[in-house]
Amino acid sequence: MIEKAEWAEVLDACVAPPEGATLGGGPQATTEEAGYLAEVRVQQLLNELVALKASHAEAVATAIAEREARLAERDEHFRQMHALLRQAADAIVTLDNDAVIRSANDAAERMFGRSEKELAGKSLDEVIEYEVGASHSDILKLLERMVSNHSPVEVVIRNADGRMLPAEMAVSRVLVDEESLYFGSFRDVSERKMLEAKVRQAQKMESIGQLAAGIAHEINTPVQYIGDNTSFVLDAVRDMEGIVQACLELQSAAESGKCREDLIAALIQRIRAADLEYLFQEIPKALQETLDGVKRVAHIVLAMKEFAHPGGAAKQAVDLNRAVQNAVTVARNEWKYVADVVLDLDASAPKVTCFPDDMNQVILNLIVNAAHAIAEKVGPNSESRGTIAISTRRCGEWFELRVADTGTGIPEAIRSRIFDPFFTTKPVGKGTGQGLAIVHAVVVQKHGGTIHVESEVGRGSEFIVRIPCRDSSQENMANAS
Amino acid sequence: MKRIFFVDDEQRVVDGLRRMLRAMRDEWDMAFFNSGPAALEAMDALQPDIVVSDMRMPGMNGAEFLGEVRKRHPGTVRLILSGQCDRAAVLDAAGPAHQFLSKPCSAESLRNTVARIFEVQEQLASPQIRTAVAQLEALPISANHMGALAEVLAQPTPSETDLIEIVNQDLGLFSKCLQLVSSGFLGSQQEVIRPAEVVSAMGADALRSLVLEKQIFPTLPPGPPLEAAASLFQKISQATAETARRIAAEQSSDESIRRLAEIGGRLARIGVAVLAVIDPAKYVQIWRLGVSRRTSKMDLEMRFFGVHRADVGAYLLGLWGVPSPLVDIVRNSPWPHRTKEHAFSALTAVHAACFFVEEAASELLQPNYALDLPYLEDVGAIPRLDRWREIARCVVDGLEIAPHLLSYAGEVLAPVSAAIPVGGVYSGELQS
Repeated sequence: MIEKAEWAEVLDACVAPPEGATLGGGPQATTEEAGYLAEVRVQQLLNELVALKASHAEAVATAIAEREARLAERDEHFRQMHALLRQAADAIVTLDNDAVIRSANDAAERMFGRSEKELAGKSLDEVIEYEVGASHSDILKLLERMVSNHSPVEVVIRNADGRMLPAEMAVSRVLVDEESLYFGSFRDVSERKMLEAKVRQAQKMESIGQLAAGIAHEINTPVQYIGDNTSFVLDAVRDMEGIVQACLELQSAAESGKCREDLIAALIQRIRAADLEYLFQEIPKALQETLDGVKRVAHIVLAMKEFAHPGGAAKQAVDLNRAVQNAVTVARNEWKYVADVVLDLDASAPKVTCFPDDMNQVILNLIVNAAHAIAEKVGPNSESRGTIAISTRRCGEWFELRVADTGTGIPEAIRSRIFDPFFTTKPVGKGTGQGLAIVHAVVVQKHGGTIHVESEVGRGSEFIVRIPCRDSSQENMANAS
Repeated sequence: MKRIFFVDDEQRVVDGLRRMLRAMRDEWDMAFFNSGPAALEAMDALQPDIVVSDMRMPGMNGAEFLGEVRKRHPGTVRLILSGQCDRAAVLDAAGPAHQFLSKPCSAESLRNTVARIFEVQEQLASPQIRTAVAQLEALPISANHMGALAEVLAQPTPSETDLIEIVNQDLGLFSKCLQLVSSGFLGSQQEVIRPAEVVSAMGADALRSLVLEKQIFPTLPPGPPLEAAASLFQKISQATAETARRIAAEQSSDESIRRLAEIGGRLARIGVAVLAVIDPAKYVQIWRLGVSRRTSKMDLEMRFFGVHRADVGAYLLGLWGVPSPLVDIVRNSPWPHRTKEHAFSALTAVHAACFFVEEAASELLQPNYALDLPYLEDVGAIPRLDRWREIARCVVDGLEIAPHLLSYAGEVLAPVSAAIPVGGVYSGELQS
């Protein structure tokens, strides 16, 4: 289209003859000439107009084609996005404000073991488990909380075929057709869980290997003096046999009425050689120490047995005071050269429902850590020693275990990272950095307890573990039935 | 009376040992201590022949205590008696301790070990040399082998084949490993073992710790005559091992005889290395005279040191707890008729192998002893001698010893280089 301003230009051009269009060239051209010139000029302009219109139409067509191509591209993009969402590795569902599933992608269908149709209309709490006994309103609260803090949580997916899959759930809000929906994505973490379990197992094997060497040393020492004392008693019995033999010979000589001087001299000689006074003094001691040694070995073996095979895989009521005593015994070789252990165990503390195997590991790791912290402070082969104070208390519904050492302490800067997996201040090859991470995982995740540390650099650290005396998950189950 | 000190921080262990060893009270003068420093203090007044120490003790541990004993009383024989199972800690004692006895250790085995040490001490006449030998933590590894070894051990997973190859060529490395494996440092004691078995028994980690971290292997003063002599020495020891093995293999189907012959042949000249480390300058003289005057080096050893390689080697191996059959072979290899048994044995093979290898190596190497013909006749070996001579020649050719021999002869005859110290590492003790 030609704008107004342009028309004005065209009309002006019509009135004023174009340059070089004059016939005679003079300003005094005749009116006839002027009329002819104007006609030519109009024709020219008309031609120009037609050309202009044609090119404009072309521009419009191009613009339309471009727009269509863009739309097609966007369409393709949408299709791709849709395909991406459908085939994303993470399971994705949309949920309405009441946590009811609207749609689900392929991965969600696989992970939940149900088709999108089957999933649609189900409430989220029908297909996942967050916390044992969590209600529908708990789930709604959880979703709202997750939208605001953006951190994923671990849930368990209840697959249609009955399998339970550990997954990590992330939630955000999306606006679809003016409606606000939850956008939930789930990631299968069973492999990661398996790896974590393997690392934990490796740490356990490492600490068992170290313990085994320590326990062997603990047992070898009493076995050494048991053997030495027994061999001494055997030598002594042989000496005394000779004396008794000489006595018997003397007796039979006396019975036949003879008093033989040579036999008396032989007896005296044997008695002197044997040093009877020494033997009577040492034999009871040797036997007593042998018995003590046997008792010591039996004590270590029993502690080891209870420590290594505390029971089945299920939670059970455990006397944690005894677990502490066992752990102190099996780890003795770790601490005895650097520290004294002071126990202050609350005999009235109740048994605690827990995984005994895991709690043994927790107690052991804390004791070994304390010993290492002290060893680092006193230095190798030092005469000075530290103290590891272990106490247990009942605090209302909680069982509290404190392990305090007089070691190096933990600098403020790293105090928040000590429970992180693989975090270690020990040199490469010494420790996997898993010890405290496992303690944390067992106490907090497996038992719903708490752990924190108080520490002062140069003075020592105290780890305070609290776990509920009674198992909340079992109570919930009991309430439900 | 022989004097022994026992050190253990556990009073009950001390009491047990005291009672158990009471039967020996007429032969041994024994004293018991609860800590290293207490024993060291007592030692200043009464020097013991042997100390037996626990490993893990508060304050000064067993390795440190024995290290201190080595410094202050170098002639005292140092044993560990420990229930320690941690390999890294045990290796700390690999330098200062001569033997490692594991708790629980039977009365019999402790008594035998101590009695055996007194026995080998009696067999080496010179107290000065006994002191110098007891001070050795290891024999040197040849410079070229050390380079190769460091390179292999620097790998994250060192090649076992490469390690075996080096242990096979180096007597210093092999003998130290044999000590650790046979005297209980590495857990269960093992009998006579070959280089390939050494590597699997030790493991690359232990080798790395000994060679690179603890650096217990002494180095010879650098310089051409010693390096050339050391490299020839290594080749000759290897050749003797191989020759003795082949002789035994032809004569006997008994695997234990073949084994003893091979390892006995390898160790037969270990006394040379000991004397060369004790006083390198003196030993260079022996090499020089040996070549220039065609004299038996064993005779020269007697002249310069008052003892010879066979007794010195046997003493070192005896201190190190190497199995007695091997120690006896080393002691008797130059004169097998001194033993009671006159039938073909590993000793026969080693005796012949030493002689024929030296004979085959070159006319430059005067055999150090004559063949013990009366003995060989008793054994019925006279008809086999030509065959054995042929085996030795074949082995010597195969190992390409000739160039080593030439460079050795050239170097030891050259004027004394300034690099060789006059008097040796331990000459101070020797002269005093």
